[in-house]
Amino acid sequence: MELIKLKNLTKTYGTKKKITALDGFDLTVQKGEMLAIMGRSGSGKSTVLNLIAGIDQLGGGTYFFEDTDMSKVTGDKLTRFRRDQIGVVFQHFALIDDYTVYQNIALPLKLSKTPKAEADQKIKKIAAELEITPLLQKYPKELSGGEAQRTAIARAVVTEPKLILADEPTGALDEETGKKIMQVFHNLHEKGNTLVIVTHDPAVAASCERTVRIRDGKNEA
Amino acid sequence: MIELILQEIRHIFTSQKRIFLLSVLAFTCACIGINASLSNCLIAAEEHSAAEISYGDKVTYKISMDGDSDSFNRVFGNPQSGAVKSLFEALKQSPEFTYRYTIENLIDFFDPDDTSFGADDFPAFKEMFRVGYEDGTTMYYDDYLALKAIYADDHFCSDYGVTISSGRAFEPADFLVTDPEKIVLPVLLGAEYSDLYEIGDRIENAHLGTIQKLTLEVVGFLGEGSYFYDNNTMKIMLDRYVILPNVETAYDGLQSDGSYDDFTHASYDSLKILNARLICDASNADRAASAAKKIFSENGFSELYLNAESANSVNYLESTRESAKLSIVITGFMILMISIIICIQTYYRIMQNRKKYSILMLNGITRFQLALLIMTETLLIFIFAAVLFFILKYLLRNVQVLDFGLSRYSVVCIAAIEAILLVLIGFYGIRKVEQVDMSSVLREHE
Repeated sequence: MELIKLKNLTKTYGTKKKITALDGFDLTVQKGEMLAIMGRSGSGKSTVLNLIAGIDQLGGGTYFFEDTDMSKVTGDKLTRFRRDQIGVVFQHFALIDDYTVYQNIALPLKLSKTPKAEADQKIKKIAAELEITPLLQKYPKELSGGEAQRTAIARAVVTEPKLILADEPTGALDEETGKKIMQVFHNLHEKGNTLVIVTHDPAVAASCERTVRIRDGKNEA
Repeated sequence: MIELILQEIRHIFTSQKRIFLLSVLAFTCACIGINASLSNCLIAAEEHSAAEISYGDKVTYKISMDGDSDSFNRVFGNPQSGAVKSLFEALKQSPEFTYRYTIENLIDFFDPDDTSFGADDFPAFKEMFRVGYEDGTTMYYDDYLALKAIYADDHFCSDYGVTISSGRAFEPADFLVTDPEKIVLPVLLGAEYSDLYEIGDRIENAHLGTIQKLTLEVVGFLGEGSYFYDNNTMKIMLDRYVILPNVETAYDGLQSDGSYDDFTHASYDSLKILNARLICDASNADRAASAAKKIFSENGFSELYLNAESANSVNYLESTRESAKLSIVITGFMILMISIIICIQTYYRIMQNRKKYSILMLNGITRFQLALLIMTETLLIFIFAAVLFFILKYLLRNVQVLDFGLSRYSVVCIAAIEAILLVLIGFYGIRKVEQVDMSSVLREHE
């Protein structure tokens, strides 16, 4: 069953000097799939992730999330979509420095007005699964790269989104820690989560079920 | 959301305290400036308006006389009362000018049969004395008291916009005494006296510059903060004043020995003449002055002369107008400066926290929630600036360095500026955050 369907996606940046990031890119993601989008730097893979996450606006083409035409979702509806349907993990973790690990994980729950007791239960559960329970009262600057990425993953999955997006999730980690983080993603996949991982690392891509290659904003044959 | 706001406040007090403190100081200074210039503007505007009410836009002449007490007695002594009455009637009836004889003077209270008469004899009176004494509007001598009073003409309330809070204003009949044996003068009391007297109360032992006793009957109270301008230059607050009609008599008062009875003499001594004003249009000024001098001469009062006040009035009006304009410009400048300061501060805060705001947006913060978060610091600045403002005001006043006051107009104005700034900061903040390239910021490595 299709969760995401991108058709003939285009995206350009700049007004005077236009840079084409995507040029007719197609992608279909099935529910429960673990997919890697692979390409070199500047190939457009992160742009695809931004468009799927609703961080960036569509240039052209169509994007359906389940049956919803995402070109028509804007403003606070788009915000709610990001909050409820998508979890995103970034290479450099994107944690708020003056929030504790607990507060960072709690962020989407607070914004969706989840009752405190329920939120607390969810945070503790996910923290236990990701083995970061002892870190909950620490601040991001006190964490190692692997711990910070686990925190970012915990925040991304705590709302139980339909889709987890990861942009170079192991890019800032050493090889050993990267493997452990990929194991976390595999565990999530085994539980039925749908994952799209953007990477330029062949080893990461190889560990996914399927790999889509992108080059100069187009699907690579 | 409350938790996020509390976290934001904690963050401000830990990581951004220097900028926050500077912003609070800047805003406090701006508030002091706005308050000072706005207060000055309002005072100038009020004085300008009052000066215009007080004939400031007309030509005015004050009736004056030079000389010692002998000269004064010769001109206004008892035998002259009939002549003064004639002069008064002639001035009133002249078509060349408007004659206004509302005069500020004392009213005495004493009992001629009791040389030790004083404040202790009359508890309410004693309190009246105390109230007046605090304000410097009364004097206490060994055997009599004197309260400051306004001897009002029949246009007093209407010309000066003086309002009555309870009871009634003067009526035409109040200005005419028909029987010298039964004199009960109606009086209006300033607002401060409303706790001591009620409408219908009578105050005995009053004297109109004679030894003849009068009874005053309270008929009304002035609104709190009532005032009038004694021809532009002196604002007289009426809260602790006794206002009584500058009465005329319906009889000639001439007695068999050729003198006048006490009340007639008291009514027609200098009280209606000296410091009274002749008011006319500028185009009619010379003719009015000539007519008045002719009336003085015809009635045997050549000692009197006219003191032209118009130049003072014009200059005063001009100065109040300029003062108001300058204050408006300064107030506007202050508002502009503080708006710029707050906007710059907000801009830098958003730039500094763009990663945080991007993460919040990624995790589903709505535009409204984001606006609240951005407005939190601005609101805190306003609150702390208000606290600092009052602390400074209290300290400076207590060490007698400066009392910069606070008018309710300033409070309303500053509150309105703050409300507008808050809304603008909310919109501006959202706009700036939305302009941030979220995808780049979220991928940044610090």
